[in-house]
Amino acid sequence: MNHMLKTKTLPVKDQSPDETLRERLRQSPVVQEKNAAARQLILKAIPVQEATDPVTEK
Amino acid sequence: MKGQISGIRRYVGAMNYPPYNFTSLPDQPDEVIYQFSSQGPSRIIPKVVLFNQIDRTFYNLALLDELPDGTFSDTVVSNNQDMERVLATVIAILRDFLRQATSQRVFFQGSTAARTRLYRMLIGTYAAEFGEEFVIAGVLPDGRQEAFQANREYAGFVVYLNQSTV
Repeated sequence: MNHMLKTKTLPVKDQSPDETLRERLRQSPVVQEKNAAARQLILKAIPVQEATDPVTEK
Repeated sequence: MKGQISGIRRYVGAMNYPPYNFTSLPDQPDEVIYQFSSQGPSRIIPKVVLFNQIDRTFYNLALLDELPDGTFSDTVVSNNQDMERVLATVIAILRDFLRQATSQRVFFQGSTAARTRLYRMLIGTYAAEFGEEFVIAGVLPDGRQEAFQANREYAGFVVYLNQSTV
């Protein structure tokens, strides 16, 4: 019976340095905190400002 | 205030420094990653400039040091004696990013209030130069944005391409 329970182990695909960097950035608490803070600040006033652009409008 | 003034003097002229060479990773829809190396007299520090999409039209910019243990920091004081070149490189990267994402806006803020003030002074110093290419808005603590004014306290900044130059 035991042989029927064996599962085939697939080779683990090595991550490229680029993929590793991307993954480490996504997992980084610093990055997550910065994005959360930016999102919170930027989105705070967007409903008010959507109709007009205070920067370019004279 | 005296410290801030001497601080800004250190960085005045950054626009005239040659940026470091930089590379970018293949784009993902919601993140764009650039890399370059800060080359000081005694060490090389890998740097990452990360753009993460936080809204339909906004990306958040983060300048990060890659630490030897593989983690990232935006608060470490590297003292690598090349801050002008680092800033020049970040500006070149920002330009590269916005020229490819012409309808996007980039938000950034300092990792500390002092750094945000430093950025404000730098923007004020180069306002005329930036203004030809970029529109710069100050973001108030309540999130409202206004045309950048050098004498105002901001929580962060938004930069986008001056569409008349696109």
